[in-house]
Amino acid sequence: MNRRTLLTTGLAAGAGITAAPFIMRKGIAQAGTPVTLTPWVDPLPTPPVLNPANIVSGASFDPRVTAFGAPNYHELVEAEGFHQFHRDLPATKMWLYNGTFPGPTFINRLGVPTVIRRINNLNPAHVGFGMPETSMHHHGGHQSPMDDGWPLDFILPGTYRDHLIPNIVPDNDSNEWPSTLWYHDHTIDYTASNVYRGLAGMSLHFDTLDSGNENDTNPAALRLPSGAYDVPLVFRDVALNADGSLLFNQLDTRGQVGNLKTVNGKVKPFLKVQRRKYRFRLLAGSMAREWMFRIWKGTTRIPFKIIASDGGLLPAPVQVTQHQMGNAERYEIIVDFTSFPAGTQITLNDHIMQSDGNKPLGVSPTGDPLVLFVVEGAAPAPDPSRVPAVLRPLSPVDMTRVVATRSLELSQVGGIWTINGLPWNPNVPLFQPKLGSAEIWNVSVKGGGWDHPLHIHQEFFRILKRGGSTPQPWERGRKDVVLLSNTSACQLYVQFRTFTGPYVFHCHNLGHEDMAMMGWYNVIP
Amino acid sequence: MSSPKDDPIKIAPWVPRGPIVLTQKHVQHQWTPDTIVTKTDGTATTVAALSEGKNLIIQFFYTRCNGTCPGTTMNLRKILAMMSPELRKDTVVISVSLDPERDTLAELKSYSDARNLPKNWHVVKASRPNLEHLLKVTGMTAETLDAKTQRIKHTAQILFGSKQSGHWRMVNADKSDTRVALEILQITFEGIKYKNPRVPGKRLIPGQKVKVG
Repeated sequence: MNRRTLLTTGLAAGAGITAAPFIMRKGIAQAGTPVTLTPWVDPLPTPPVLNPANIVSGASFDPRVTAFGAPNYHELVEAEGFHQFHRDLPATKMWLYNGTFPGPTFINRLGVPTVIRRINNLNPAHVGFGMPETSMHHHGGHQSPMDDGWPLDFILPGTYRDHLIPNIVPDNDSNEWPSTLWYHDHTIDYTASNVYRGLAGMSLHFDTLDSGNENDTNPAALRLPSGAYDVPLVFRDVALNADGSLLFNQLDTRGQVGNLKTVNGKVKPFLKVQRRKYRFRLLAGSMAREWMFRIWKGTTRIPFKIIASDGGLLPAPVQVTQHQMGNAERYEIIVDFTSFPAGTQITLNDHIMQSDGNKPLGVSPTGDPLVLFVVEGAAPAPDPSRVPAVLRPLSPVDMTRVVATRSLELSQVGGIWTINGLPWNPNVPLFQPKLGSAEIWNVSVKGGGWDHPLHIHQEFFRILKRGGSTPQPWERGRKDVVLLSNTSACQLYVQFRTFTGPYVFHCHNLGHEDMAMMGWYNVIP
Repeated sequence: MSSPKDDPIKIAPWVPRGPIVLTQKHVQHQWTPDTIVTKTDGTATTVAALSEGKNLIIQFFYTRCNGTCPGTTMNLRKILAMMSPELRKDTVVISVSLDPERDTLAELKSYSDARNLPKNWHVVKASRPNLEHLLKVTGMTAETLDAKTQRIKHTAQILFGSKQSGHWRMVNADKSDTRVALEILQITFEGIKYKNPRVPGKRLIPGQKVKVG
């Protein structure tokens, strides 16, 4: 095994309701000029929305990207740029989509295709971690293999490629429509370093049910909190030097864990909130870190409602007081600030203690506060939004479609991460499912030293069993990532609809993915 | 929203206010260090000089090892043989003894000769302090000789990288599929450009607005 070279997180273990300073220790670091970061001085930024680009008059798209209708055209430029993680830190040189971190948010509507023209303006002579020849995956998207971000579908600096997001649902079943996806680099062997350099952003989905308008007069609309009250929260740890530069250990195949946790690219930001309901879209967007969120007012835990998972809205809200997430998972929550008087300060804390990419060490009782919510308003704010008891129906699992049962074991063999003992091999698919069929995948982890968030491309799956039991309510919806440990083997219902061709599945601990824990299936007619 | 400096939030007593102190300064692993090593002909040189600025593979081994070293060396030979002549010509292997107290230069030469190692594969030793330094700066691990078992517990990983791209990775050459190891090695050395994507990107014309189609 390689040396444990990365920094431990002083934050999770050290944070509490006392005012103890956080000091980074251990690792490939040594003492330098200390930089002190004061918490709660940066406002929480919201990633900008990706606005449509002008289409050159008279020009046409490749027939592939017009197959589903007239596309909504956008341009996404990958280039070197600077991002400031905290007011007191120098700007960090990163790779950015359209100059921002996180990248601009895609807005998708059911039935309206989106074309993303991805332009690679990275430096072809780049030296250091990261590969300037890039691929991109629209994570959770139901799209053709040509648009899915096959890890070898890279483009060179100075070139562009069109990605079609058809915004269709399999079987024309609107219950399959998602709500919070994301996109990120997906380059073979270099996904971790390229995502770490900054190539990631959110992708939100709306339709008539979840219209993104809390004032919607359509009686079918749910009218969930919208606009300024619909806030993406991208959780991501990062290892920074005191000069603000990125630290990345290319040899850490366990997956990198950073020494600073950020939300929407800021360390310990604050958000002024009105006395009303908010929809927060949570993305665990790290390399390897897991999260457990709790919301605190002092020593009182605030309950919140989970309304959506990876594949969209749940059938009904689930009230909880904590929630754990593995890498690449998305969950949406509703937090109601109505009852808190002006000036109330509430924190969203992470309670996972984790010092390397293998798995958490445990749960901290006090946790590490990540965002400070400051309640404003002498009286409750007008709030036309609703959180109905019934959200989006869940289409039944159709066992008559099941034609095969497969086993996937995730393990480490000879220092390389494998699936069924096999490392990534782009020339040989692990499975060849038939178009329109369904399969049962029994997925498990061999060895207790690590967790694996398994991600399957192209179709949402359903978790039928976790550890032999019915999963928790929030895991019963559509999923594209399942967090696995050696004590929680899962049984999945996986479908293969709409598209034929190759799709990958892999561990979304990006260090594991890059060190070969990836396979692919080829959907055949 | 107003600037937080202009409009500071008065933090409630129950909210943690302790500052985060970043004290670390990244010590970059030195992949081609100036560590002095001795070649089998007795010549003193450095890792940096031996690497000649080419792609570099570093293996840590010892001649009496009956564990992973024989397999690692054999597989490394296979990997070199599978490389294109151009890539092989642009690659240097350095095998560093983890047992400098016992491994004599003659034994190292015998080890090299017995395996018919090519000219671009250097088998070397270093003084104990230099060996420790080399392990430290490359981030690799090895214990000292266990008097009871007469074995040295050490990593089976080989470290490899390209000075040109700044990409460095490692694989377990003892147990890995040599084809997989070669692919990882090739991408590290040459980038992924050597592979042909299914759909190559379209060329941008410098200074011109991107056109649709």
